[in-house]
Amino acid sequence: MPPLARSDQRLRPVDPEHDQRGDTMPAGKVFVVMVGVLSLAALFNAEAMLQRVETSELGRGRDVALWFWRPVEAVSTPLGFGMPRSGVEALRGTPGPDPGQTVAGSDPESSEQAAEARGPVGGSGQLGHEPFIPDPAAPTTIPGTGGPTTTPLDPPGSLPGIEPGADRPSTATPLGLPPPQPQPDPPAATAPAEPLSTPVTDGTGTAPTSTTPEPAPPGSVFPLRRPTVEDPLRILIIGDSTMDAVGNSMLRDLSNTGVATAELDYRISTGLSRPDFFDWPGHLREARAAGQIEVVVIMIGANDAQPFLIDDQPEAHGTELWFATYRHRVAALLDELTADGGWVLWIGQPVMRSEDYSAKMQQLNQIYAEEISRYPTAIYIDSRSVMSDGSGVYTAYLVDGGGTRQLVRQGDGVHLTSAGGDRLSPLIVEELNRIAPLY
Amino acid sequence: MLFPTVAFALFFCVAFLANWLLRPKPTVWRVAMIGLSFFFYGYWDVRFVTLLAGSIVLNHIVATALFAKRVDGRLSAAGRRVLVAGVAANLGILGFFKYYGFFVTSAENALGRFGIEVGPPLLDITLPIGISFFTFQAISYIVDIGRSRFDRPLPLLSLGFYLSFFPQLVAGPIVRATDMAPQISRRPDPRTIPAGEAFWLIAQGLVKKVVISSYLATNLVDPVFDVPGDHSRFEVLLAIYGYAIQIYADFSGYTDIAIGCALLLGFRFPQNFDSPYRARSIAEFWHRWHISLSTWLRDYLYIPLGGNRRGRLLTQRNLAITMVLGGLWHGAAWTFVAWGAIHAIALGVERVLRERWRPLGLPPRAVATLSWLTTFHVICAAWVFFRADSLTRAFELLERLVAGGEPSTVFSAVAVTLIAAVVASQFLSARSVDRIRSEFARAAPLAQITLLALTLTIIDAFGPDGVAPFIYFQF
Repeated sequence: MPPLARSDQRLRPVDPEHDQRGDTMPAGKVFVVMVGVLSLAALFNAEAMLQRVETSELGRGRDVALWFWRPVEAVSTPLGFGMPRSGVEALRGTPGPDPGQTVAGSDPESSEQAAEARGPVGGSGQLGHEPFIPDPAAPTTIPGTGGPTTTPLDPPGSLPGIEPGADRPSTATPLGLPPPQPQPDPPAATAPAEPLSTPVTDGTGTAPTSTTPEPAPPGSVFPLRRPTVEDPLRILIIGDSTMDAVGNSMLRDLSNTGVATAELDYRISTGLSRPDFFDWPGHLREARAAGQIEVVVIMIGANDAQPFLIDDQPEAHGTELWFATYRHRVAALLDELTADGGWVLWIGQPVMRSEDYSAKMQQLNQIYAEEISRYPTAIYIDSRSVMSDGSGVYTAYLVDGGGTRQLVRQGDGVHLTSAGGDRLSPLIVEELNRIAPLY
Repeated sequence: MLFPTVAFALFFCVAFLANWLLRPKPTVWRVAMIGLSFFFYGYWDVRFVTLLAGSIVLNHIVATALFAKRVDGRLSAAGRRVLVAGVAANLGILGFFKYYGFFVTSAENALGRFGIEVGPPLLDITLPIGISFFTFQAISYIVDIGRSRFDRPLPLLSLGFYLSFFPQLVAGPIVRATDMAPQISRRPDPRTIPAGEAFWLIAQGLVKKVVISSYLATNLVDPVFDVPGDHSRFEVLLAIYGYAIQIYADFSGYTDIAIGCALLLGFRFPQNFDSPYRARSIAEFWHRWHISLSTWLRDYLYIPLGGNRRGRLLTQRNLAITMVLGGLWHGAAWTFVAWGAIHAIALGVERVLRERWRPLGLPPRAVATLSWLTTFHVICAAWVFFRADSLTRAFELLERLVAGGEPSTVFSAVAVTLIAAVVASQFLSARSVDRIRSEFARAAPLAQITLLALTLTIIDAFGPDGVAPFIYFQF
């Protein structure tokens, strides 16, 4: 029977075996070693750490971290403390930190470069880097409406920023953004005559789930082309961590068609709010240049309801300037992706468990839908009606076609489970099938 | 708060100082350490702290009631009812948070197949991290009181310290109260910290988790398990091996860090892994894998069911119940039940073979090699179900293992080397590692600092920019 409860004040070795061998240390020395290790490691890794902190979520935490890391980096670099890190990175063959990515698909080089473990929370910060999934508890206010909103969507154009179809901030010099590229002419035989303008639904399931061309009748020319086994449709699937489950389900579904090749390239904690953290337009420009991508499927935005920098000044989420800038970024990305007749399928964010967070996502969905309606080769896919109950309310469980109730949302109330991905994927594949027959 | 973060490193420095400076004042020390552990736990979600505090208070009340119902040092009939109620309360909390949705949807779907439509209330419950671990620790405490292994209940603060102690709070090892209570009441000598071993374990754990586990997950396991149809049978086989190494590196890495941190704070946790992949039988595997769980299941489930003392048939039944429930402990999904069932069947077959089969003149070395190969592949096959999102996906992967013939796309020499190196490391002698630890402990502080800082740099540079939560956090 072990001696219990009675406090025994005699000092005894933590581990008698080690104590006999004499390989123990006093607590003071251990503390000195610990502090010394952290200090020296800080000097060795100052540049990489500063880079991570600079691209972390704006706020007091970032300010404090910058206050610490800037002087450390200022000391470390001139004195050559960064050399061990540089040497290790040279050995590894990658220059500096890179936002995590998970790549699945058939590109071995991309797979080799994949740098992020599978994780359901959009990435957790190693050595101080925090995930971007915003605080769902933060109140949502749309300027002009006077208060928080969880109401169904306003009509297109009601959000502050740029009216659909109106001019965007010209060359956006105040924002430091490039001018939008001219719209390519739609393929004469395939594109709809009018820009698509179906409003995004409120998730009740009563409205159309996508803004899409009508399917071509049998025998007609499909909007994109007819893929074959020899010349399959080339698809790139991108996004943030919300694309994980959906993207993998799509890979499986597309693989079964036999006439499509797809690569999944999602990056956790990314979005359009923080191009300083990860530059999606630049990344996609390179990806499209490297491979002959015909369709880009994108699901992004879950990390975007956060402040971002405009001319190095933080702009709070929810202001008119914020929405205008964000809308401009969406348009610039669509310009990039639809150049040369490329097609885009943009999946809106699903209903979220937190009502405030869900309302923020719906604001972004509205921007996506409005901007997409101006591009003849872009399609908006509403995920809210598929991923909610019959009345558009968040639910973690849904019944599949076989009558089986399944868990479709992860415990965070944001991400989809594998079953959730399986539920959403057919909707996207069906849209692909409308522009290029897959089965 | 994840171990491989700056936040945890700073937190641990504070905890280390508080631990050793306040240790001479037991009450203040306990309060401070409980506060720090609550902070550590609440870093994920502050609501979790309420649950943990509730569990501490509940089990203190049960323990006090049990002692009140003892007669001549043994539990009375009323005491046994209190014990049953206490265990049921703990399991009820665990069941509600972890299994409610699983049981309700499983029942609904099963009844639906017979045309019976039910509309059970579905709750969207957040699973508190580590609930399975601290619940099992609490159950071991009150059951051990029932078994007269304590002569008095732990004071509330000591029980709070035991259940909330942050190094083992969220993913074990499942330390028994009988191991921890003496260490809480005894004051360790602050001049005798086995820092060499502790720092070695922490560095080793970080390498396992941040470098090995993350690399294999990203570059091999996830792509193949997510879309097996896109990969050849060779890649599928490699990915299954890869997952065996990934989960070992992930979980044993966490355990290494937990044991190392506890050592620096003056606590010795029991060993949780002992080169599990060198096992030559499934029974041996369970003596080497997640030892704190397997011994818990043995002591608090298998033996109370009757163990192996009631004949062959009942022994097999007890094994099956223990392993299937052990599988379910890992997660609320049929895949985990299947994983436990495979181990149960393998253990049962092993028992029969051991009694009836004699090696047919094979040399002992060949028998040992065959036993090892068979054991390793049964374990790997079971891991397929453990990792798969559903039973359907598991069978898809296994089907691909037989039928897949596409060219390789994710083959990586690095991944193969990592898998081979980790398997080979299972057969290494611990003596050489001990010698390195001792040398490190005797080295000058500046040398220790430089070596450890370089190790951290290598780990950070080779690891991904962002570490996924430890696999076992979800359990």
